[in-house]
Amino acid sequence: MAVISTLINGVAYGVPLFLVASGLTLIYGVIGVLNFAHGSFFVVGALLATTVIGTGLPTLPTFAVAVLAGAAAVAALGLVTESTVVRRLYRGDHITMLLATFAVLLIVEGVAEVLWGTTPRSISRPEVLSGSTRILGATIPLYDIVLVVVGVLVAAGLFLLINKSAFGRSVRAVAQDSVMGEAVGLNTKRVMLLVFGLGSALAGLAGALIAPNVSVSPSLGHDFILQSFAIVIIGGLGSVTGSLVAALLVGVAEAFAVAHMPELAGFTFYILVAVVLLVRPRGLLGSAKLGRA
Amino acid sequence: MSELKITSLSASYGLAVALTDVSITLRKGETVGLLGRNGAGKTTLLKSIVNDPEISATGEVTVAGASLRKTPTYKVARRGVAWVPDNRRIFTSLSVAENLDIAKSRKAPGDQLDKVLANVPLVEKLLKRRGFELSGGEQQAVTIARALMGDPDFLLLDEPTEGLAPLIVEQLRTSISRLPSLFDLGVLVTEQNFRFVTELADRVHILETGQAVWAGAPDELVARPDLINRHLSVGEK
Repeated sequence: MAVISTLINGVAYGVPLFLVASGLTLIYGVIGVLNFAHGSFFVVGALLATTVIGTGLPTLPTFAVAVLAGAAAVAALGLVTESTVVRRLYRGDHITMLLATFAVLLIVEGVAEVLWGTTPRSISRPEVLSGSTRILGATIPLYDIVLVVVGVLVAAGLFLLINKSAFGRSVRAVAQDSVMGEAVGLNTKRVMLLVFGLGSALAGLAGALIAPNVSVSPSLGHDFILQSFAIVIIGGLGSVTGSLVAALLVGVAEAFAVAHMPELAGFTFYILVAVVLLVRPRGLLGSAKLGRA
Repeated sequence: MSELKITSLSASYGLAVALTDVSITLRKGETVGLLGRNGAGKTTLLKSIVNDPEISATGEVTVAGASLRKTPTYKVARRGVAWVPDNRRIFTSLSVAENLDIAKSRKAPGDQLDKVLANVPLVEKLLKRRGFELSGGEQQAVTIARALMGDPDFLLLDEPTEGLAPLIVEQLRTSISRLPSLFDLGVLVTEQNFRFVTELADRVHILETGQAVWAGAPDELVARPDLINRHLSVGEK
């Protein structure tokens, strides 16, 4: 029973990481930008959720609105960032892009500190999601099940979007050869803008979903962005499916470490990164450019 | 009659000048050939027409009198200029059907796919294959079909015979020769394959070190071995 409980805890832990990492890897796979500001986008999603929910016990609709508002607002933030900063640097080198997105991170964090302060905030879950249930004899928090369901829905949605939609065809074409994409009539700037917005929305969604589980402050993103980069490396740059596999792997490994080898808790990421870099430097499913998700 | 008019076009890659003061006119229904050695500026000319971002160009390119100079590449395509680059650049992660679908423009007739499949050999049986599974000849057929999906007025083909077996080259020549009448478009084809161009084109231009050095009818060029040896060094008689 403990194994089932640990497994579901691990998957639930991995879902927010998957959401953040999938946004990172989607943006890198299509645009070739490693977005350092992604962690701050995640935090803005969490902070917005705390503002919408406030200090009381939220109803389920209020909580849903808070989560969606976090994702939507961060999508808008991503669109502004792409069109004002990132777009101007597509022809620059990776170092310039990293520095620019790091600058965006500092600006967003600074503005977040002004707007929300530095005191950690916490919010409650809706009462209907606060209990636990028993699955195969194991006691599982309901909110963990919600996270798993959201993760499955987002993963399936991304798979369908990228592999089965007209927009996904454009995304895959632009990821491979943006100049040729333009030559067949695709507005590649718009495709890149939308991908950046979508990736940012996933960070905002993750932030809002994780908010009830953590103390939310403007520096919350530091740990998450490091772990998300680790997941992108393990899964393979540019592979959304790789991010899903890596996030679940990391989440479950961390949960088992916490349960059975507490001295390794917090280090499983780095162990897995080191092993993957030694054995398969491109990551589990990496191709560096987005093919089929 | 609609025409693609290139006037005093010069182009460079950074500080490296690749094309100087070239003027060519292409009308719908005709095929114009562009011959020249490696580095003559043929590819640069086509890239300049579609405003490839790596090239800085001056001069004028118009379609039906409207300038394309400041037009983004995707809008050049939507205004009826399709480009098939020299290394084909098929989207290998997409299926052939997806490669065609992605290039279909809103102005194209509903039956454009049927028309393309009926007139570009090979492609119909490849629809379910992925781009990376195709041979060079198959890729070339798919890229031409993809270009036609936008129902273009002008088709720019950059060295379409590069790396293809002689039999495939012959099939390709036959296929391209039918395009102007079947699709009511003009074809501008660059090549180093002298025979391919002189048998295909209505008019031929020769480029040398970025400059247009000769223009005339294919028969006229075939009868001028001095020109061929001086500018192309292919030894055709």
